[in-house]
Amino acid sequence: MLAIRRSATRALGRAPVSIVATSHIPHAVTCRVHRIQTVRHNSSGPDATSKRAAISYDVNLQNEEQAVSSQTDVTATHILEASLKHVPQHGWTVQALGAGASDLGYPSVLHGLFPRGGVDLIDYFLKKSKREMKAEMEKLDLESMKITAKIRTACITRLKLTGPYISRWPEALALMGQPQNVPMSLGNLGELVDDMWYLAGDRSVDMNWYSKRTLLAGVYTSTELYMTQDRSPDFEETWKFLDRRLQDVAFIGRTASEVTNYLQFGVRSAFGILSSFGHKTPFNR
Amino acid sequence: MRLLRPLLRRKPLPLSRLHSTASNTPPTPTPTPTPTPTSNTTHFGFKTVREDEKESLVGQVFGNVASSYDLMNDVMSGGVHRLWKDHFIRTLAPGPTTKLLDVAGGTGDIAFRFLDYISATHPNPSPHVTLLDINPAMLAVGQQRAQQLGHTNIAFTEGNAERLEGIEDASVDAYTIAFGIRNCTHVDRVLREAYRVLKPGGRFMCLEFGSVENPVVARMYDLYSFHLIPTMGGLIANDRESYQYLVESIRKFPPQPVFADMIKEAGFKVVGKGWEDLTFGVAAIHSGFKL
Repeated sequence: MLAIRRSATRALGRAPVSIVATSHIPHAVTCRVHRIQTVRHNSSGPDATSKRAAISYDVNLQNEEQAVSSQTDVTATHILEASLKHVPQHGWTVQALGAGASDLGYPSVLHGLFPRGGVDLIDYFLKKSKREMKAEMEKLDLESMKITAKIRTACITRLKLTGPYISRWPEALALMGQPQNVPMSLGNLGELVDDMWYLAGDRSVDMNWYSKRTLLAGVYTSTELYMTQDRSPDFEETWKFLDRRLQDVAFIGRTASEVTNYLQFGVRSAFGILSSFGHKTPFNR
Repeated sequence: MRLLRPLLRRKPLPLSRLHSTASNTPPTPTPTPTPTPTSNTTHFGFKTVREDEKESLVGQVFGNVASSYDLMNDVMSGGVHRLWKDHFIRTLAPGPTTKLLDVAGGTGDIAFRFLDYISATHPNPSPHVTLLDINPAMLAVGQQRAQQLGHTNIAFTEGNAERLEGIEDASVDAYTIAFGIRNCTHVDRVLREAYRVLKPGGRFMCLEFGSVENPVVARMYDLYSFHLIPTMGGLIANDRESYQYLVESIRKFPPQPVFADMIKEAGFKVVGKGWEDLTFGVAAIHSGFKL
């Protein structure tokens, strides 16, 4: 009995991976598993990211325990929310989480619900701020705005949410830069710039998709870094810095396409000259 | 080689035992055909004893080893048990007013670390520890050490983890038990009592030996524990039997996934898989939350 239960626990622990990866399962079954997963993913619709954010504190989300643990998730989210108030005093630490749990009448040791401690709190803050940025942007009349204005507003809306915690933000950046936390940090940054571009009306499906997001990620992170050192009232200097970076990006984009044009012109001319001497080139073959 | 042969021939029993312990199945390492523990019998190391006997047998073991317990822990683990316990308290990360019940607290390793952590982390702390142990000899050592170290806010209590008499429902923030639950006759009763005395949102934390999954390490670990530990126990503590019991009881304790299930059955919520392996799973920290 114990043996069965133990192996069952194991199987549950890695369920999706092990099903797909097992080689002796017929191909059709494997495909079906894939399709079910894909369909479920799609059916959660465009709002998928915000839903995922609410339950991503993986407090044992396995099969039959899902119903029970959703209650734990609610408690966990309440604690995270309450803990944010203590960040200016305690930083992104288990002390802040403990103080948050105490506020809700729980023993402070309940911070153990978050095995990564302060990193879980940062993760929660990033996802929450992204949702709030999105909600605020959707209130605006996006139709009448130009793309650059939309991106600028999105950046400012999002950065303003970091404002209350700016004195502690360098600590968060240090934690986010630790190798084990890099996937979390990059994941959140990627989702943020993706949402910003989506709100700005970008629907590109070519290589532009990557270059736009990479450039915006650069702009956003450098502005955020500037903001940690900004002492001007209401972060005025930060917004000026942001404008300069956005100009740079526009310049980079323009320059990149101009350079491509020049190169193309140069190459074609060179081949033209060669062909006038009787050489065969890709253009006159 | 000829000199060694009689030695080798003398040893087949423990070695064959090693094979079965190294596998992943739950512990059935007894080579002798002992009946599986029924409702009236339980295991005492690899021996099967009547349930009402185990408590006094364990009592004898710890009565014998109390005076050399801390020294032997250092020798057997090469000091690593200190790192495990430090990590255990850092994981618990108690707040300034945390009320701890340290069961099977014996010589005070967990309680002292708990108080040290709090005074080092929080400016105006008011923690409290109830240190409970069934064995007066172990408690005496703990009291002596507390006096030496100047810890005053520890209440030393003699009591049984299966019946926490005198401790009210929902009265403590954290419940810890380090290297103790293995020696209890009814682990399920211990867990139920822990659930009862914890406040809502309280944390149950258990540091206990686990089973090593890595086959190479498991092999070395078995050789070490079945051959060296009893010998060292004989040499240092002059008590080979007690340390033979120690290593056997480690093998009889359920492996991590099974114990995690027992914690869940007692009503606790666990995060992720529910435990953290230390040193390849030689020890593990199990956690449960009363939510």
